[in-house]
Amino acid sequence: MKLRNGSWLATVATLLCLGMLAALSWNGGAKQESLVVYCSHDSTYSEDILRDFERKTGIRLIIKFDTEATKSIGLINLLIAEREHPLCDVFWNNEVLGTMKLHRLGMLQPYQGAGFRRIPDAFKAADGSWTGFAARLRVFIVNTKRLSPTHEAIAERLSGQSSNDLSQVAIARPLFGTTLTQYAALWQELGAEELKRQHRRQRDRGLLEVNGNSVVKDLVASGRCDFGWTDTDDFFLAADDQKPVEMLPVRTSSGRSICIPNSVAIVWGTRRLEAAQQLVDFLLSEDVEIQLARSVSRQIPLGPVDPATLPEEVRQLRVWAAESVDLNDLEEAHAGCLNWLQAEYLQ
Amino acid sequence: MSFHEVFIWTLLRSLAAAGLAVPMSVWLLRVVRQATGTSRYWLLLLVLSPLVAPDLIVGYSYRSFELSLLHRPSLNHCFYFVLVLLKFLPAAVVVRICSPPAPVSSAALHCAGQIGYGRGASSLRRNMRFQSELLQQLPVFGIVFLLAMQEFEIASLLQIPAWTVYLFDAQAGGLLPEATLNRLVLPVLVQMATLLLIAWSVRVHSRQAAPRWRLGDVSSTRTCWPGIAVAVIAAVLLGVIPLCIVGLSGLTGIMGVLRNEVLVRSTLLDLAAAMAIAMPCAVLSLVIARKLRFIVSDDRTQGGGVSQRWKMLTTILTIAPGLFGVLAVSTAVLLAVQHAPLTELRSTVWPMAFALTLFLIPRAFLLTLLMPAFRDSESGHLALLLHSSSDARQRQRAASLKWWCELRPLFVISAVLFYWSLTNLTAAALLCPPTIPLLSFDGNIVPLPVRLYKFIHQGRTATLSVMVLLSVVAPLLVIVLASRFLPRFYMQFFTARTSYS
Repeated sequence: MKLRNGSWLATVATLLCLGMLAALSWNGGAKQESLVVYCSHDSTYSEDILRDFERKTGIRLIIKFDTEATKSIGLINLLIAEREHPLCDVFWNNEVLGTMKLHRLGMLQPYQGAGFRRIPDAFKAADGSWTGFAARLRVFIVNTKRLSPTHEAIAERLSGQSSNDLSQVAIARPLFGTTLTQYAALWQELGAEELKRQHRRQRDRGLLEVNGNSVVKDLVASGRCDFGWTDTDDFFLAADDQKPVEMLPVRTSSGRSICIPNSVAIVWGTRRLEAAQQLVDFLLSEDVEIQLARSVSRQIPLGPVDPATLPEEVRQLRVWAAESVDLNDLEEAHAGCLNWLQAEYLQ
Repeated sequence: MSFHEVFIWTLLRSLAAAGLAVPMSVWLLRVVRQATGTSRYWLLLLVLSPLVAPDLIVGYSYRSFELSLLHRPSLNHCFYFVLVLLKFLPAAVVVRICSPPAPVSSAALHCAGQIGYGRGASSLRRNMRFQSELLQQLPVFGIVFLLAMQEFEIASLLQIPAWTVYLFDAQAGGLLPEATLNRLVLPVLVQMATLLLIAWSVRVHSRQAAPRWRLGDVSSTRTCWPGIAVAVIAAVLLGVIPLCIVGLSGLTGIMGVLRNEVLVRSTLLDLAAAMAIAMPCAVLSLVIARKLRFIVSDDRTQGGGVSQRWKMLTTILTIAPGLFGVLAVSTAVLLAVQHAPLTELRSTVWPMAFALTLFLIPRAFLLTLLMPAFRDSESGHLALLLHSSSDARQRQRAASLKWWCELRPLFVISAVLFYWSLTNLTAAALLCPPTIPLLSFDGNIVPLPVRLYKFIHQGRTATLSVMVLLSVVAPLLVIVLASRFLPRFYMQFFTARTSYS
């Protein structure tokens, strides 16, 4: 061997690396047997539930979680990209408009099992393509040291009666997630032109648009903003952290609240239909809704549950959730609203 | 802001950062050159440290501070600009260290100034200045410009408009990957033009002066306090403060986190998986970069024939994809594996490994340029002589010398690449498979950077800080252990191998 020739070392290193990657890619046939679940609900809460399903049924799950890094829409885009060769069997989405989009594209397989039947009509597709469960509400998070936590105080600020400046008011950019659902609900109720007018006026007055509901929560909880729009799960993170915050439900002009459930759907083309149906029924069960209601994020059960099993805050939230807009009405509004927002923000 | 406005904004910011990096890197290099002995290497470590500061941790550490600047966007922009400049300034220093000396000496320039003011004399002076200044500064400017253009994670966490963040948000906001790639055309063209400009200047420059490692060949008596100030501020802003913020809140929450067995177990598995993917990517990118470096060196020494031009083209084509940023590379790979026959790869680590390796190649190439050429050095010659000895101890010393002079720098480079690979969020978020059965016994993997990002989003400070500490300490432990055992293993293997040959 010649000392000058170091290529043997490079060759050994390359072979070792390729071998290592090959070993990491070996799946031992697990892919064929397992049910593939794409889940955009927070893995901290959803993973235990899915593992519980594995234990009870013996059906092995492969779970791909979404991340806030891709703004909860990463999995929808991935599902659309995989449309011709789907990998996913069941999609657990932490909101509903993205699932509706997949429904419009004909990518979901209807199923009306026991779980479907216990959920109210306002929170599911009539044909069973998707079904909602365990919801969040859109709320105003108010810093009680800076503003009185009443609808009147907020309305006064938003209308410009007390001040024309909205730089102390925060909202997540409405292109994504639950803020997009809120916009779709307003689009439906106010009409496109009025929403656009309101939106432009608020932006002109300095409304602070930030990256996500958690930033809104942080800004209000730290006193850097007076109030903002967020979800109940983010509000409870601040409240549990003993921050001076209160919440009020966001209401549309007709007085309806905006309740945004998780949604579950079977992806068209699944080769494990029976197992997929079992998982859908499991997720839509009373036990799972109660489990999510007791989690830190206090999700609101949509089907009938024993109120005694729920935390006090969730019982209050259920009252507000019952006054929600009908999500099925938002399907068309969503498409129009998103087109406008994309034109507005993604020129 | 529209995409074009955001792009122009990023372009101007990157140009300004690159422009400032040119003189500031001279200050930093002066600091290193004036030191002697071991202190020189410590100073070099201090100067280069911001380059390896994990973006995710830097962004997380300043997130709260950034919220206080949200109402003063101009200050927020300035703060981000300072972070970007200081983060990529070490890259400019690296380029200066490995650049050839100025092709025109200052004495020659002085003489040119003395030869009158005729048309010919002016033209000569212009040419000499062009050769002396432009060819030397262009690679420094270009590399910092490219790195600043590609920055994503700090901009995203600090809510700063950048074309990378815009494209990521646009894709998340419903823009399909094909449309995202369409929008990449303009940034790609600008970066490609910059890359070609760098390649051209390096080629012309290296024809006129032999490239060599230039850390210690110049001593200057000029003051170096601006360099020391910049190095200290950079190390504090990008290293000390983030580590203190993460460390302090981590220490307060460590017991609570350690009691959560499920969290600790899953985090350790995720960490193991992340390291298992990052390690081969780092080594592969280094192997490829080394090969490219030899190609470039051959080209320099032998002049340009047709085959040499092909080699240069291959080099540029291999390096170019990584320069377009990890988002572009990951999106392209994600799209590619949706088509047969690649669909079977979707549930494996190959797409992620491929994207990470492509992303790391330009950085690996840059770092390998730093290495002095062992083969042609005195040490290399000595190792060759020792190796030809019949005495086994002499041969062992040859192996030892080869390790210290050639393989140890390679090990340090692969450690840096390993760390960059490990902390990369975008490739992990887009391409990590949901399961790696070899490591995830319960069938699921959440890539480590994704897990950290999620904790950032949830504001779970104590948990996040513990995880961040774990994600810093565990790879460091692996690197330290490897640095202990690899030399022994290598020398045993090398001596055994040579004794049979």
